[in-house]
Amino acid sequence: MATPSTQATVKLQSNDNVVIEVERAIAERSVLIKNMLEDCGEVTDAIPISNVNESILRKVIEWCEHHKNDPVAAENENDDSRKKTTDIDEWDQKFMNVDQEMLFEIILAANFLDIKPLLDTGCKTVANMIKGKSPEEIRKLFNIQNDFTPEEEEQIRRENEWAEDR
Amino acid sequence: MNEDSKPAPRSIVSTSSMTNSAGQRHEESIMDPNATSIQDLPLELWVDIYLRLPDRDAVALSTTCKQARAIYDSDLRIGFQSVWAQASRLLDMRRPGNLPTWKVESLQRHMLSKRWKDHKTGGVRYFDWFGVGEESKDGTDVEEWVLEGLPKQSGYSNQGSFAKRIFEQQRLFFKRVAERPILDVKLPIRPDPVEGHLCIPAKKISAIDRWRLPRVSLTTSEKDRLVNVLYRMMLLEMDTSSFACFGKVSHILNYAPLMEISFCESLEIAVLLKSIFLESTQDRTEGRYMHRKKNEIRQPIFNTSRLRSALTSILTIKSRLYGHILDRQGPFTILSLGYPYNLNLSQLEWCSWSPAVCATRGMFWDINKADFDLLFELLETTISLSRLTSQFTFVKALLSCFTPGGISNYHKVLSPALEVLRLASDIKMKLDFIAVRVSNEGVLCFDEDGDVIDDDSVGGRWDVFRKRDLQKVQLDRRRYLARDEV
Repeated sequence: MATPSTQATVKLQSNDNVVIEVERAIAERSVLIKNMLEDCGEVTDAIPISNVNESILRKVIEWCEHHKNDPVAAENENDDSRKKTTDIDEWDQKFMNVDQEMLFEIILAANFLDIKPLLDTGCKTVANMIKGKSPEEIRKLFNIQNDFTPEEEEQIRRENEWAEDR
Repeated sequence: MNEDSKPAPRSIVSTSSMTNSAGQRHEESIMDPNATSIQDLPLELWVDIYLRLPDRDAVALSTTCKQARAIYDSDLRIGFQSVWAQASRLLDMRRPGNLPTWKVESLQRHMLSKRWKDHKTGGVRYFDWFGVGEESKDGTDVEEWVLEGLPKQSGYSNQGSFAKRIFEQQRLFFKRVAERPILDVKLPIRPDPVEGHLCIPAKKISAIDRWRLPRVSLTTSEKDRLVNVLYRMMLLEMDTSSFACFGKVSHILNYAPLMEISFCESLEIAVLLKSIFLESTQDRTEGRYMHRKKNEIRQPIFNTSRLRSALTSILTIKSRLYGHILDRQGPFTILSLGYPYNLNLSQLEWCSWSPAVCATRGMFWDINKADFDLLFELLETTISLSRLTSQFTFVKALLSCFTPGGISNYHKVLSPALEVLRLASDIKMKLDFIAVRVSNEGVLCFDEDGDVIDDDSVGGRWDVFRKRDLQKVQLDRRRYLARDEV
């Protein structure tokens, strides 16, 4: 087993080969990186983050930097407390105020890097964008192609009747 | 890729020099068709987003495209371990005590909608899943339901909208119905040409043959009948719990609600419990079912343990009593054979595929409705007549206990009547029931010595308990008091 390291910074390499040096404590907001560092001990080479490009990696690091002093959620913390709300704090709202492509890239990066609070913030942002909109408005918002036939749409309308106002 | 072939890093930049790269506001963006979009998210993130949406918004999202619909509809949603665990916990029908406001708010809109038809009154009733409260007369405000004197209980988590959605669409429930060969094969019952009593005029069908029988989809009225009974079951599971408080909340099985429902309703519930809640625990292997561990529920729709326990006792007593009155002859033969007479809802048993034994399983189907209606009408008429004319006091008393509101009038004769029944029949079970008045929320009242006493508070009700259950609660209460004094 590797011995714990006192290394102050680590290097992260994006999939477009940009290396970013970051404080170890900040990088360890990612459970994936934290586990990797614990397993390997001292790491001098850049850690390849194969699924994330430079701009997204910088955004993720920016988020981690801002939240570096946040308490880390317990491993066995009930998922319910994560999912019961769609409230997002002000800084995170501004942080997530980006174009859609970047928003979804951040969500995918958070999922890959295993940064649950960032993933939650991303999913909450998407949920908030959807709330109160009709299917047509959601399609327009996310550029979703309606691939239902009229018959399928009618069938779905019938199935969804329970959700209509009574 | 080997080390030599790796392109050289373009730059090394310290995070301190980073600037915010926020771009356009996402709602106003024009999407590049090749850009990463919501449709690129993996399944678990779709599920995560769905879980954060109120029902109507989740439905709206599911209507946008086939991918969204498939995820919303998918059994993965139900089988998803973490999600299912949360949903089942939520659907454990123990009363939740004081619900947090966010939960009340999220539940009340849905849970107080019109849902099911009351068998007794024929009227439409509101199904109050978690005791959220009664709808006010103007139909808008909801008063939060708080169980007085009991501490808050943990473990009742959110996911209400998700769990409710499963039930709203009844997908899982009907999936279970469709999985049950005994339930989804509609066999007509017919009067026996010789004996005159009702039976299924089919030859005995082997365990393997029944898998080859044609499956017929459910009609709307059949679905309605099944769902009404399902909702009634949920309510009864809640109502069969009364409470005692001594540091912790203790549940005690209340038999009164089941004594008051009709025999027909008892049988309908028994059929569903048996077919959907117990037999679903079996594995189908080589054309027959194999037992899992006793009472192991693989994917419980909701907890039915109290209901099963109470209904087993009550249905057995009723079957014995009715058998005593009706002599189990003529048209009632169908009710007295094997099932449900040897009913055991506490554990799984292999039920032989005898058409007569399984006849009651056909009670939900349209083709049998007229026959069963006639049968139960005849049954109720005979029982009512017996209630008036029987020469046996205990029969009169007991029959009166099995009517709506009967418990309150006949609580004093209940126990002696049951004892007479025990002595008069070959029934083996102990009939040690006792009626006690409790608060309107089902909380038991104790005196200073720890003995249970009748609660005289306004709106109180009569509950019926097993003597041994009551004695255990009293013992626990005394121990608690003794520890408190020390």
